[in-house]
Amino acid sequence: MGIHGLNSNQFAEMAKAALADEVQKGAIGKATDLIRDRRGEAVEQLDDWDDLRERARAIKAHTLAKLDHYLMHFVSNAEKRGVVVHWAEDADQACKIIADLIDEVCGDPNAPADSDDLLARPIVKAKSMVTEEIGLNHLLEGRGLRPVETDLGEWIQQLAGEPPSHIIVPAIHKTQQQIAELFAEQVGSDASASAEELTAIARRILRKEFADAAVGISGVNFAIAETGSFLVLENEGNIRLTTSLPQTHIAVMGIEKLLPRLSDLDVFLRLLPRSGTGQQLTTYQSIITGLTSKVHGELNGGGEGPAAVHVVMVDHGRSDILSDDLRRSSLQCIRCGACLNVCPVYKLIGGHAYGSVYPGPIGAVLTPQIAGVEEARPLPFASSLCGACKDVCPVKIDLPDLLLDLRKEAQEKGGSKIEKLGFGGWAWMMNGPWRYGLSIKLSRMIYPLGKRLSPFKKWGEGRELPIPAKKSFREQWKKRS
Amino acid sequence: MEKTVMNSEEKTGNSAQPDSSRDRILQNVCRQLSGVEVPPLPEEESRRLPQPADVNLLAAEFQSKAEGVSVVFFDDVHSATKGLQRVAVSNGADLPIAIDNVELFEGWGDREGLLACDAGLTTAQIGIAESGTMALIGDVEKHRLVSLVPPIHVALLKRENIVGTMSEALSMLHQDGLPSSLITFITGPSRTADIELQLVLGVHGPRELRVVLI
Repeated sequence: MGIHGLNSNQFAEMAKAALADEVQKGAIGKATDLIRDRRGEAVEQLDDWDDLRERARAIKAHTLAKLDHYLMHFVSNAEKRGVVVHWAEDADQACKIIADLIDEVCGDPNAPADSDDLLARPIVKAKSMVTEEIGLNHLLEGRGLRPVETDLGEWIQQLAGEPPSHIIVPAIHKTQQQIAELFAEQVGSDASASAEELTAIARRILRKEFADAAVGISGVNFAIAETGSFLVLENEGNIRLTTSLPQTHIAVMGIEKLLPRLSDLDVFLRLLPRSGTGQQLTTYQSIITGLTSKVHGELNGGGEGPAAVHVVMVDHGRSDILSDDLRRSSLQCIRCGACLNVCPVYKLIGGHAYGSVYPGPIGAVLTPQIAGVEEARPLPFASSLCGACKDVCPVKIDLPDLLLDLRKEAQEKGGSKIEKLGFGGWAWMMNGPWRYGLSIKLSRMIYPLGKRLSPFKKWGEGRELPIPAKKSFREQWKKRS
Repeated sequence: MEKTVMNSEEKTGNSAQPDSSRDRILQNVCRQLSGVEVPPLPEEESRRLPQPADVNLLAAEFQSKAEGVSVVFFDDVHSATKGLQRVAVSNGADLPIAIDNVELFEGWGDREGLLACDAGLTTAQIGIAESGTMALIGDVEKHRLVSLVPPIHVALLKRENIVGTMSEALSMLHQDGLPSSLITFITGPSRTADIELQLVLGVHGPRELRVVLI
């Protein structure tokens, strides 16, 4: 059960390549510093930031510990308002449900009827990490459908044929010049276009796609159990268009996205934009509760909103990590990306090197849990454990602790034999005064070879091995007495 | 592995033999959570601004916060629509039925017509002072496309409907237990910073947001 099309086990090679890319390093360094500073300023405006984080953590912790209850509550309320709810155990099933829904709207691709016209129509997509996680675009394209990303950053990434490299700013690793060249190549615009001109080009091209689309696919930021509502938040307006213009809206959400009450949104709307972009509030939040037509008593509300709203609840390994208190806390994540912007590892290598849809500290925690530790063995080790991520996390996830826990699992589940033997030997050596003394003597002999011996060679890159003293303290002490 | 996708309306209740994805997911959630201690849910809280809720103070705070995110204020709807040719209107009861030299167009029913409009005119039902945000309620007015598709959005907001905080707005929206099918919070014009974090207004939605306080 991997995450589509990516390989986290090649982390070392990909990180090395990323480190050599000076342009990318410059773009990511500049952008993450800027968001980090903006976040800092936005947080300082509030005098109760830590109370707010604690409250958010407590709400999420409670909800996850009673997830079955809140899931049932949400689903029954959403269904009452005319939403059709679907359940997907894994990525393949989620993709199949969505593709089948699209077929229902656009007609069966195998049918010889005059459905060609409909099938050529775009499927407009608003930025959604869970659809990246399940590899939706790949599957839809395989079925001859045309998913179109409409968030500007996601669209840039789609034109480039790359996955997003940051949770909030998908094209963070690209310079304006690179994006202008990409547009020139793909849509024939001027290769020296400004950010403003590039944005206008995107608006013009995507407006047409919105007008033609029969299906819109979005994610969900928060789902409210007591009302059956869900909230999506954005700056651009593409989510509003995606959820308003096409006749069918499909919202895809991980089962962990629930909040008990509508009033709980207040705390999360104070935390998420500040943590993500340093804004007090993003430009738009849409709270969608079922169908407009159910309220107005008319189909499609005279052009207002879709005629059908579907919610696809995706498990994809989430329910399996509910039993352990520490592991469960990683599901508190609200995808703000703050931990990426402060992570010394992410800032140098960017998102793609992780080989995972979710990069940075939270990716190094989520990916091994969702895809399995075997699929992402290097990721828990891709951290200096400095703790900056934990300090900025708006829902107080203990990321360093989770990384250590996953390192332990990675070692238990088949770490290398030589490594195990080495550490076994080390433990034995350290477990008695005579053996310890011997180890010091040996280290003096081995030291000159150390950097050349294969297990130490890799470790010793970029590091200075400690030089053993000519006479150890113990030996000097012995001589004195 | 072949899996059948059940329509959720067809499957309800807990069968001993889990036979749908819904049952399997819920049963696994229950199984994994059995024996897990449930920490308490924090009490609901109503957050208010520290200063007293004076209409003029709230309006001033609203205006200053909204101007901070590029909203432009006008004294009346005539000056807000001056120079515009075709303006789409939503179906709100409080909207003007005529504006000098402006062709008003019932925009919510006609997408093609809407695309040709210079601006969209709606009311906003609630203002939130602390962030300069407006809440538009779908059941009151079909604002969905009129406030989004044209390049300019003109919004009318009554001063008396400005509250202090998002917390107050959410509790008003939930008074009868059933929120409207669509609630849209709007704070400034559409924006993006996806290219080297450079701020550009009007990416997918309106590039200008004009507000008239009445």
